[in-house]
Amino acid sequence: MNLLTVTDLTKKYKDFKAVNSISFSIPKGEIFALIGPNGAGKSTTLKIIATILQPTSGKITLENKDFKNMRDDVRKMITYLPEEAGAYKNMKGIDYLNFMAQLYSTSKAEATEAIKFARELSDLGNKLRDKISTYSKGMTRKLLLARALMSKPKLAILDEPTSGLDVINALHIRRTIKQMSKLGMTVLLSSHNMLEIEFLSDRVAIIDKGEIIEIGEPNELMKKHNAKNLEEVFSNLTQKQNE
Amino acid sequence: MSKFWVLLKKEVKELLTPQMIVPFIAMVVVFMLMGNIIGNETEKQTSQKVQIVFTDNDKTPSSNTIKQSMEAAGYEITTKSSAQSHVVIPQNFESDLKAQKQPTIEIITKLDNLSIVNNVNTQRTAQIGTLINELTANIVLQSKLKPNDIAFSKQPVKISDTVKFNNKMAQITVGEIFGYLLSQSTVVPIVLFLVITLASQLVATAIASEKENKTLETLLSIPISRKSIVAAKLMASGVVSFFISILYLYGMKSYMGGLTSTATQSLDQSKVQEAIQQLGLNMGATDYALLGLSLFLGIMVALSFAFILGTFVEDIKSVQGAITPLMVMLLIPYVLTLLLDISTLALPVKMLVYAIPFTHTFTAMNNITLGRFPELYAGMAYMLVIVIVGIIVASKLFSSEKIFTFKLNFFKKSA
Repeated sequence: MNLLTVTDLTKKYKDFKAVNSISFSIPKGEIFALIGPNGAGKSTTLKIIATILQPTSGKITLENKDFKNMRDDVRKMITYLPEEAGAYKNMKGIDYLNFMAQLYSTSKAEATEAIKFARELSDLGNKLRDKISTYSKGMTRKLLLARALMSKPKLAILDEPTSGLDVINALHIRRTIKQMSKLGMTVLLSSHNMLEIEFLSDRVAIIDKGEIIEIGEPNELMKKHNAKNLEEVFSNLTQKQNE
Repeated sequence: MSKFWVLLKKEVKELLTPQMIVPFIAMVVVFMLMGNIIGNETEKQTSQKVQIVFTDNDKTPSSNTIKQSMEAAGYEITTKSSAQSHVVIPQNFESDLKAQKQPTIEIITKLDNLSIVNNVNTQRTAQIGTLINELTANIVLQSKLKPNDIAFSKQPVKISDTVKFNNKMAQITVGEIFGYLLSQSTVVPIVLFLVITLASQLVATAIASEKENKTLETLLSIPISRKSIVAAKLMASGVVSFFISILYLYGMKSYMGGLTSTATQSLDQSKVQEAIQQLGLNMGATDYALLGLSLFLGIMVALSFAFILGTFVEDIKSVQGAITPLMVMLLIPYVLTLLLDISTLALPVKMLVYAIPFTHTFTAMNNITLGRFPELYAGMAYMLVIVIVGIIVASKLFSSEKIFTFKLNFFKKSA
């Protein structure tokens, strides 16, 4: 059964179509990746699904809840990690998690449970007692991912979750996403790192100039396009689009 | 070009951005405009003759000489009830002078506003007593009354000063009342200006920092209504501003106390207080509550406007430029109400100034003191409407994607 269904989604800024009539669906528990060159429409698509931007046209449903008139219900089921997300620098890491847990939870017990879970996910240990202003980029990203996943959302929307991170921090984040998926969480992510996509995702949609030009499982796409890896598939398809 | 000049050129270019220049130009224009208004008003006030009702109960050549001399000195003798002062020459004025008995002349002065420019007229009115003494001294000398007392020749009449306000009277000079009330009422606009400026900066910075620190997208994706986010930001800025305003008020009271101590130390404080009570110019608990409510509404107007302007900025650096329209709206009534009585301005200017919501906060203190309650309530109702509209617009903006796409880039197209 599909958790998320996107049908003919279009987003226009004046005459420019950032997203042009794209459709896809994600079954429950799947890790679905959107890949594409810069400005292809990945982040815009994720922001629309995260309820931050309004689509110009098209339909999105999450467990049959229509985004158009049930946005508040949808927000309870999703979390969003923006590409360049930051945290409140004057807060300590633990206070930030506490603040977010209170906003996502309906009871104190639920919030306590979420904080406990986020502490484990973040792997920041005693550093959580330090101010966020003292954190490195990797530490901040770990904290933000823990925040995004602490409420065990039905759909986690992760825009470039490991962008700009070193190998160790990126590995930690990939493992955390995989671990959460095994627990039944559905993930919609975008990335420029094809190795990461191959490692993480069950299915991939290649998006260029606002349109989905290919969709399928990584292995299936490699076979179909006679490529050694996903990077080759991506490169061939986007070059063809530009010709 | 040396490396230093290359660096200098870059630094100047960085500083001279439209965001920095436009607010300054706006401020210069506003100051020029206000200078014009104040100049015209001052000229109008000083060119007008002080009107005096002259009641002569003696009807002798001496009393008539005083009347004619006052006219010659530039005062307009009239029978109009709108006259600023009323001079009463007692019966037996001339005979008392001859007997060197120092007759008492009563001067009743009306108090109708507390603006600094109006103080010019107040000073001219306050000079009537001195003038009468000088004129009478001349009469005494010219009539060869041969005073045996030098003090009598210097001050041949006693002046009884009375201030009239709303048909209530008190034995005091208008200068004393005016000086006392002005020392009280100038503190409030200064504090108001500082607090409203601070509140505006706080709320606009709160939004700008969410954008600059990249926390806004996360905040807007969490399951909480946008109205709650707007309300929390407005309330936090409002509460912080309120507490800071108390600190400001305390500081400004001490500062103004220091400044005005020289001016007021010569006053008999108990006499002034008694006169204030007699004239009904003292503020009670209800009056302070009304002043507080007006201040609260002023802060809320500023917060809702600053919130709207704050949604257009991208970073904290742009906040100052973005809230310039608000500062202009604040500066105009601040300066004008401090110097002028707005109700005396020409109708188009008056309408323009009254359209600025903050005018009603700045005039609240004088309106309460002078008992102009219909004006006070109308102003508060107007501010309440503006607050409601402002909060609705702010919530709509925050609920829409315009907060991401609508950018205040001077001379650039928005995304």
